[in-house]
Amino acid sequence: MVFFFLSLIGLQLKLDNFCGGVFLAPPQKDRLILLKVSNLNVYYHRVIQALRGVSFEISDGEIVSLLGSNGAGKSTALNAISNILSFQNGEISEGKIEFNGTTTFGKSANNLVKLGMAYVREGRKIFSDLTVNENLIAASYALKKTVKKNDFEQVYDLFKPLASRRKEIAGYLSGGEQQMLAFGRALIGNPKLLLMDEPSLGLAPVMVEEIFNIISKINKDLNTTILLVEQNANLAFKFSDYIYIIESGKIVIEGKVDKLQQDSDVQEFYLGVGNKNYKSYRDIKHYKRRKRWLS
Amino acid sequence: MFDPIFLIENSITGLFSGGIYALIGLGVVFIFRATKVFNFAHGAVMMFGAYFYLTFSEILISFGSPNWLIFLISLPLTFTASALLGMIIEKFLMRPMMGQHPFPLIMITIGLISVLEGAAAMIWTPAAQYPKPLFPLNIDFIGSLAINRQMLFSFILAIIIFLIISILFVRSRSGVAIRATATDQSTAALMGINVSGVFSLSWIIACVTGSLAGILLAPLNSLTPTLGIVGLSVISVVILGGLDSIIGVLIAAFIIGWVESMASHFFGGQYKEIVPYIIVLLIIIIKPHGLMGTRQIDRL
Repeated sequence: MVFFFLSLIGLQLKLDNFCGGVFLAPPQKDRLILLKVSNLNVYYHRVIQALRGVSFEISDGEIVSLLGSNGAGKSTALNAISNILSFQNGEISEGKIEFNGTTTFGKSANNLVKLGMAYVREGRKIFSDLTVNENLIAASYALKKTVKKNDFEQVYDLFKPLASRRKEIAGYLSGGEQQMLAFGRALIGNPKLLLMDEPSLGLAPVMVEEIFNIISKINKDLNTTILLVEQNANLAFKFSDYIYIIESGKIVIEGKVDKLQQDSDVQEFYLGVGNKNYKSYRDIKHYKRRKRWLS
Repeated sequence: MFDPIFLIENSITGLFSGGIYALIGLGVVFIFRATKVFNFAHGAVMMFGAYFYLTFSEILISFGSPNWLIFLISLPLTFTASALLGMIIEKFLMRPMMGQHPFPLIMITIGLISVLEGAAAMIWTPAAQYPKPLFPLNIDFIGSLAINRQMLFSFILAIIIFLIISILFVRSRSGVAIRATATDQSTAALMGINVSGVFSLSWIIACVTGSLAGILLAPLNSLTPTLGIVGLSVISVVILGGLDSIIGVLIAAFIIGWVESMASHFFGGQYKEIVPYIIVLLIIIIKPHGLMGTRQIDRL
């Protein structure tokens, strides 16, 4: 009898969550879906599971953020999309990734670049012993037929500080300038989709603001779709259209920015603006339980 | 013994062989920079190149071709064959191991020495052979100083090719791609650079320059399957130069060539192979990353 009631309560909770939250909201997207990831499972070294059935999609022209803490699997998702997992001894065991309508499996990372996918990696990863201009040349190497001289000028226009230092060794640039160079490298072929892994990492707050202004400018002016991975939730909420929150390799919450912003749990746990005074674990249990139902 | 004429003559000989060492070392540096593998088999590849040249030129000689035609046809054929050899080594021995630690790959190159030497002995017999030299053997006298014209021209050709390749490495788009790949393979792939293509390219460049060095070297010594032993001196050249520096190789090649020549002048030929390593040890103690090498790279 007790068990029966308990299970009823459980069912009730589940229904509550589905009806009351932002979670049920069907994505109202009428635009073309540029990237579709479904049920992605990734293993490193064949034993460490980094992603457990992650699914998300990005429409053309959007800025979508993937939020989560350290080790949640954000970078793994980007590495899987751009097909460089093999360099890190990782492997996609299950799932599908469709970019612009076709699967990315079987296409090497350099071929995906030619199809219009660019990736700004965490920690910038510029070629530090090449000059600024050579970094851009390396980035345009595969696209030599389509990249023209004014593409270089366009990058230098967008990132003014680089223009005066184009002959300098890239390793001597400041952190912000290196981040700009990393952006410039990704933008040189006018990509359709730009993947960005923590562009705010290791930058001064002023610089972070500037970098994010550049991101939204790229999105508006060049109509580049952007998938942003961030730990800084406030920034992500400020600049993106749609948010996915990922934890331990699973998407736990998703939704449009304005809806998520009003959600008290998201406010409390990701934005740090909640005004409830939680005193014990019991007070936040409902949130944990809700995530469990969802994942 | 201390006759200045002999001293100058030996110095010149040493510098000339240094030029050829530079050309051989260039191949090792290229492969090391692109793939982080120290290619111990480079001497053997060079020996194979010399045998390719021997075969093609013998065939043409048997047809009674004039001299210029022999060079015009056999040299491109030799370079093509060496490029193919490089592609095969890269594709079937190196690429399956891509992404692994470089050490097993280095062991493969050591094994490759025996394979290539054995194959050469089976195909072309171990007996010494003398391929047609690119430049005729003439001795010119400047005063009482004898200069071997064959060595002089070989030296000039080696240095010209060395400079062309290194300028291309710095200036051309492919050179930029190779250097980018050397810095970070996965990021290079994300920039659209075909990483395995770059590996292939660097092996091809290394094998072609190596075969040219073999062609220049074979008439000076004699062509046997153990011609690759010269590769041992080149190891000291490359380590002294700093493993990944092209300028370093050029400087180190002249130093080693000169020191070898001086050693055989003062102590006799059997010390020729020891002295370069003593120099290398001394310099490595003072400058562990070689003369011009990058500091943070792995040591062997």
